[in-house]
Amino acid sequence: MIRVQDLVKVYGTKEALRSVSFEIPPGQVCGYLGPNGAGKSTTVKILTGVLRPTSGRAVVAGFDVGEQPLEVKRRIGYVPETGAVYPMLSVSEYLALVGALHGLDPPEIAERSERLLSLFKIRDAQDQRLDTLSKGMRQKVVISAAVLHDPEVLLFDEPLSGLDANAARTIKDLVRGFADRGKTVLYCSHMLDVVERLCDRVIILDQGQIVADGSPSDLMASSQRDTLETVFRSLTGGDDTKELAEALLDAVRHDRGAAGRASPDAPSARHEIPSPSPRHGKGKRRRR
Amino acid sequence: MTKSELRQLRVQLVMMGALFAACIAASAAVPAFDWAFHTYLCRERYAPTPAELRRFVEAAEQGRLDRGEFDRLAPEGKVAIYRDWMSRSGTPPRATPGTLMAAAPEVYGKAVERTLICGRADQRERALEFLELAGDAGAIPMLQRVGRWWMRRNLPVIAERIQMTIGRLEQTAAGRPPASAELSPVFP
Amino acid sequence: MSAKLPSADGPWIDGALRWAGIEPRAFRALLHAYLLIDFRNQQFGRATLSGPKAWVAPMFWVVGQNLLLGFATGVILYERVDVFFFALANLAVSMLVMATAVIVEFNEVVLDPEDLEVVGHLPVPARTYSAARATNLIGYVLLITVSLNLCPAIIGIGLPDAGWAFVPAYLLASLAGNLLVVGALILVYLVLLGDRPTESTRELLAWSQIVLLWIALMGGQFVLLHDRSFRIEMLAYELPDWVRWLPPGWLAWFVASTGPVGDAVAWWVPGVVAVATLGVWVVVMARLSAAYAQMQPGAPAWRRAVLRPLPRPGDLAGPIVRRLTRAGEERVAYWLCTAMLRRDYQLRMRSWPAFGVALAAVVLGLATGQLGDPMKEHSGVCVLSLAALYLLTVPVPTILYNLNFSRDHQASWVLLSAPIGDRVAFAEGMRKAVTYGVVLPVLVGLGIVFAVCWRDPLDAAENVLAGWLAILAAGHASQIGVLRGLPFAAPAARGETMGPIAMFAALVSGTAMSLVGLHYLASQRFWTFAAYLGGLAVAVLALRAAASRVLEQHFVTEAPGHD
Repeated sequence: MIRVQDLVKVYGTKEALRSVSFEIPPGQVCGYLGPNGAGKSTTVKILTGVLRPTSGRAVVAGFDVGEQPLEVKRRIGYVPETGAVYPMLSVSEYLALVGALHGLDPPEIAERSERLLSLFKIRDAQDQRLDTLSKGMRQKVVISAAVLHDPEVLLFDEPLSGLDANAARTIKDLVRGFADRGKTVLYCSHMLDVVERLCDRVIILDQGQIVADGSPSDLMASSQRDTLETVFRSLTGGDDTKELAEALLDAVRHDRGAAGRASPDAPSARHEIPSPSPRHGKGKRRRR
Repeated sequence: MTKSELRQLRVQLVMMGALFAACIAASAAVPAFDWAFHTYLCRERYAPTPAELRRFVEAAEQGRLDRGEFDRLAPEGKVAIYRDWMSRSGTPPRATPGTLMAAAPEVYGKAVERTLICGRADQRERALEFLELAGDAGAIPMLQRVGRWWMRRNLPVIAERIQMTIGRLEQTAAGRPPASAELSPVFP
Repeated sequence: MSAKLPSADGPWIDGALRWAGIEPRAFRALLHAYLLIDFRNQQFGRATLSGPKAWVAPMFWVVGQNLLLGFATGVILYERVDVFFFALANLAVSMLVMATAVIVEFNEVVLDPEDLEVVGHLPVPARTYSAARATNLIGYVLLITVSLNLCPAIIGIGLPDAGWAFVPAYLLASLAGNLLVVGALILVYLVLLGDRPTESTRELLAWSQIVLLWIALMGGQFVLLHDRSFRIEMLAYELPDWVRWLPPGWLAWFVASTGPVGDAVAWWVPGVVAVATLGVWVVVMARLSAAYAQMQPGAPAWRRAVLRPLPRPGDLAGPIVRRLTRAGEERVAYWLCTAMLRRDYQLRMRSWPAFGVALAAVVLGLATGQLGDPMKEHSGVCVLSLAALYLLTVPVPTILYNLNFSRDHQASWVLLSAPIGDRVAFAEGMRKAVTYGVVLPVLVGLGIVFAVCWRDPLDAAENVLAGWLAILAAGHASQIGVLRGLPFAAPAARGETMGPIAMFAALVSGTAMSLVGLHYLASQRFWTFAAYLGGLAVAVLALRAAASRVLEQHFVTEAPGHD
């Protein structure tokens, strides 16, 4: 279970989180969405005890993060956005390190590592240095380490980043399996189609505040939108993306004429495709 | 001033400038304290003479050193007898230098050379008097080296005093009495 | 790039840069960024994104300790030596410190493949990039040179044989010497090691240079220590002729020639050095450009990709580690720190030079026959043995402090989000990684050397035992003095790896030298030596108890507070 009450986080003069409150019961996969800089990663770091809030309360797996951070850390599995690891360790060393930090015995670590690495098809690389692995393989290792100690609460921040389709499918099934076994899952991602299919519930954050909270279907129905993506854009000011894209293209366009005057030969501001020159296509169709 | 203001580049540069200024001021003050260096740092320090060497000191004062026993002394022990003479208050015994130089000219020549280089002005004066009382012309090359050293350091006054001692030793070697054999009571 | 005439538009310097094949705007932008990074480095890269605690830039500490060093050497030598020796000693210290800084911080200062992650995809010509890096480097050299030599330059005016031109002459000589040393060092690396130097070769070269540097610095003092009335004045007076032929000797000769005594000013010396420096830097720039153009980010292909498997699957500890450490946080910390100390080249390069002084003392002692047994020799012959023994305490705070820093600091979330319940045990693991994992093998090696030289293993064991107790004491004291939080959680900034703990390290080395004297006195009788060992043991226990209390309150295993 995750319970957050009036959580505030201020960096200098910038309010990253403004009185955020929500509760995620066991057995639920909750998507935690927001544009860049909305406060998603900040929330996750507070819940994992990596960051301290300015004010407010967070309870994870029944323990207050501020007062009993140790108990919280024993019960959570965290996959950060960066996925940074100690590159000079091998895969098995990294898993043994994380397992030891969570108080697992070596035989347990060995057995669980073996199963997880086999599941992700990276067992052959267990003695390879982490910095020689691809990003996707490293991500598999980080995910394995997060679930090694069978945590009650899982916090994923962009877990599918760099993964191939098969591994991504495995993770999605894993997430669903965890929830079915009564775990609590907080899932942060920008892949809204995945969130729409995977999550029981979605919380949308914008500028440090919750702007929506409900199941994907409820949110789509209430806002009369077809997809979670359109719901997201409508709530976070993303509707005018097309105009924004065109304005960006205008801003960086090279104008070969004098300053302030458009070149007579240059495409117009709306980037109309120039008519084909007479040489091309007169009476001919390209075979497909 | 808050920490974030302190961390601004401008403030850091000002702090570094202040640090430089403080060190420049401290460095400029050092030459002004020449006298402290000459009084307290640029001098030899003489430890108390060990009890087991006292009989050698007394024997040297009387000009009756047992060469056999004396030769068995470690070099540090021999130098300790010299330092005992150097640290005597009032007028030190006149016979000691000659006795010691005759017994171990290299050891005492080296000890005097060290005093002439490392010692304070009064210690240098006493060391020169040691040589003059010993009357050993064999120390002249050493004195010439030391004199050149002080000339190179642009301190001709010291070099001239050394030259005076060279002159007296040459006179002694030639059988003529030195110009002055009086010891100045350097130490009160 | 072809040479171009200076442009008629814009400042003349832009034209000069273009003539040299350097893009002015990109050059200025890069240089500005590098200067900011030098001053702000402690503010970035904290994985928790919270505000930094440090209110002074690492550069401040570097400059401060250099100013102090320059002031100290100037004061120690003032009025005791001639202007030649004064300039020689200070110039030599300056060039040695400069050389050591370049060797140790080669990656951060000269060739940094990680830069490619940021600028590699940008349209910056290789020559522009190398010019910006080289200019930043020269700026760093200038700052270090001035901070090391300003105080001696001012103090030296008071010498009787220093002339009116002492200050400019000395500063000119120091700048020329440092630039020449840095340029020559970089050239050695680039020419000898090729454009893609292997880690082990670079490390070997760096190690041999560091040991030689320390031997040169300490050699004169140690050799004369056999005469207990060693004086700097005598060293200056009886300076061997061959010293005058070393590069600092030429420059010191030039400085001395500006004085009132002697012949005409030897202007040809700075002239030759300037030409040589210019020549070296032209070649350095050309080679650096080529090296940057071929630089590749990421791990070099030659580095071993497959590591040795764990002793038992899932188990970090082998039998020795299981005996040395308690299960849990202590064992994890011990394993992680020793693994990183073995594998992280940059951590090793920041840590191992601290052993250079002790190693130099042993080498000098063997070469001059002054590695005597203090139990048997009651004279200056055993001073080098004791110095080597107690100088092994000096690396302890340095290495422990350096565990704070890593290029992989972004992985610190692994430890920050882990349930580390017993923080004292974790800190103990870190301490043991340094004392048992790094210093103890060196101490054992020293014991073997003693046993062979003295032909008395029992005496060697007794002396090594005293050294070990001192090392344990230094370890606990360092936990109080320098250990503040989880390892590998902060980025390594230029100068930060030593600057802030310079005072504490000086305290440890001062205490070590005092113990040399105590050990020497105590070793003359059996019962005094036994009492000395007992005293050391009591000190270890007291420091251990104090360290536990301090660590319980101050050792941070969670996110730092927001400020």
